[in-house]
Amino acid sequence: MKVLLSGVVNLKHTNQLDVLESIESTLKKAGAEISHINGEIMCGEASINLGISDKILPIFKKFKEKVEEIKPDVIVSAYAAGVAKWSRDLPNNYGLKLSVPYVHLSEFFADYFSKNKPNLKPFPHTYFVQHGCTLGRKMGRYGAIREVLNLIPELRVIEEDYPTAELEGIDPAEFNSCPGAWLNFTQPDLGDYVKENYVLDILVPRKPEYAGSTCANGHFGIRQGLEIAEIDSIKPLYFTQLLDKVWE
Amino acid sequence: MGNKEKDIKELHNEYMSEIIADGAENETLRTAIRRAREAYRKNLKKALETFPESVEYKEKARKIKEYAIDHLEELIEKTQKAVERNHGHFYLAKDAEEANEIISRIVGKPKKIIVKGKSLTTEETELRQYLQKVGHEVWETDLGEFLVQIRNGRPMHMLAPSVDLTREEAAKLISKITGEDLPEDKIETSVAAVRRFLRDKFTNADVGIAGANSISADTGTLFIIENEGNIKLTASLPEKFIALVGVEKIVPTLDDAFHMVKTTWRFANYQVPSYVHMISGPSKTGDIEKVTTYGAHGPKEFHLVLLDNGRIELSKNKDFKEILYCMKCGACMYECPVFWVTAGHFGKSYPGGIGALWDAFIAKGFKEGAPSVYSCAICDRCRVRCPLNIDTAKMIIKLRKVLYEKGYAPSTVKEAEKKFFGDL
Repeated sequence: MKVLLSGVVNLKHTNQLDVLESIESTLKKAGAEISHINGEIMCGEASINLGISDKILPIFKKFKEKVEEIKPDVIVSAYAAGVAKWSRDLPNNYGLKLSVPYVHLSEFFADYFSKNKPNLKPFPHTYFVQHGCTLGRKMGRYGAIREVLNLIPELRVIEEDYPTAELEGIDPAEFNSCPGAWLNFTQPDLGDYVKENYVLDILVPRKPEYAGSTCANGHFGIRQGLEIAEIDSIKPLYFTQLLDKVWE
Repeated sequence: MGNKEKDIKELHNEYMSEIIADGAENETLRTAIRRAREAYRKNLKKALETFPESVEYKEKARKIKEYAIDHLEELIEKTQKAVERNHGHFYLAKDAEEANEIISRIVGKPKKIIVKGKSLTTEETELRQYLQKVGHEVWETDLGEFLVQIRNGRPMHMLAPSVDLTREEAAKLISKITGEDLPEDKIETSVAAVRRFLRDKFTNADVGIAGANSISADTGTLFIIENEGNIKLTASLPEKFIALVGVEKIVPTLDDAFHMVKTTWRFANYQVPSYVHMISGPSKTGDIEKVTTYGAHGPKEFHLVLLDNGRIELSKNKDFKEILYCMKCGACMYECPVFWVTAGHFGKSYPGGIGALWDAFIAKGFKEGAPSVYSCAICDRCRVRCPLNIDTAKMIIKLRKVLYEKGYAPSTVKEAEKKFFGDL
């Protein structure tokens, strides 16, 4: 399967090379032939969130051209932003459509594992998963990451609870707190306090051994928060890093 | 007003200095908000367990607001007719300045004693400061707002203006003004001290001023939710009662107004508030010969000042009219990750993400309101908590586009644009 991995530059920009390595490794384990767009900036959601979407429309047109040249079977990304952009905003607001599906990595692996039985080693640890806001609340896609994590033997997954979620008939994931990573683009100084507080208020009381977000942007926020709060007892671990550890 | 001369860079810098120094760096504030958040969630759970049907209120409340905002001018006219039919006085102020002038005329010559209920609309017009400037003695009577007044601050939450204070800080502040040495660990002694201090103000007040949670256009009735009893006294003891209310609080009928009010209190975490006042006009009696005579035990005069200040125009803006659906229950703030570390320093007249929109469109304008628009983390959590499902993040994003085009974006946005998108 020919997979175009999108968002590589963003992972490099945020120095998440360990995450990138695990993504490439796990994709290869799934038999993917990986390609990239050199110098590509995938994070289209940032342009929307910053209010500069119209100005960078040529980037998306260029991305579409490159996709047509590479002709992948699927485009995958650790960032939910590109998924949102290409499945919602660009087709709806600008008439820009891709000829191949653009999915989040969690969705890629959930689909892959539904068709292929992986050999996953037990991982007897606690893992806190944060449902990133774009894939989660804004797009209502929570299932894939849960499916993938549930396949790992002996893994204890911790999700954020919310006291009235059940009473209100709402998936508690809808109430997932935010580690504040989007503030990196607008008010980074303030963002540091938000990230630190996320770790102290949300992660520390739940005592996981590992924590990660579905979205690489949220994951970056968690990593930064753990650093700022100087918490060593919880290790940041993106789900592909976890998957890479257990996938034989 | 002076901010018009300040350039946008200066406004962003000033805002960032405040939000970091007074907000994010303040560990006590974070503790107070953490305590308030936990109490909010616990109370909301109890309220929803006791009244599970409340979950169904949300959809109807949203529909009422959608209709009301789409028929705003028609409902204002209906309200005027109803208020005048009830022997009340009706005013429609086009902006904050006009609202303050109208109220100042109603109050009359200086040196009046005015008792005031908590109202974000009066914060928007800076009414207390205006009336003090023209020579009146004005007292905020809601405990949280009283604390705001004595520390010369501004509300840090829509419903709980002093949510950023711990019991210890509150006791210190109250001790200063009452001259007592209050124990710092006991909330009840602080509450009792304020009760004693304000009792004299209530009994001698010439004028009472408050806001309202909703107004029914058919009967011209104001609904005011409260727990402390200060509104009861403010709206009953003085000769004149004035309500300053944003036009967006009008809904078509008495039933609609009550529905909005019960949705507000339930999602503001109350099983039931201690008081819900319905005020439709001045105090009156017909007990002698059935002749209606005004000014029995309550106020002789009832004045409703409705404030437009951009709301009518906003009601016609399809991208942003949802801002006006906000009932100011404050629920969203307890779930906002930025509010958790900054309280109302995130915002100006109106706090939080929805507050940033209110500031930009209503209270402060795009330029002065711009900095807080960029404090939103765009996480969308407030929409999930909002009983009216108001999509604040979506509107913030749309507004950022407008602000960028006007040159009001912070330098960080320009840097990000250059860094991430510059080469393409």
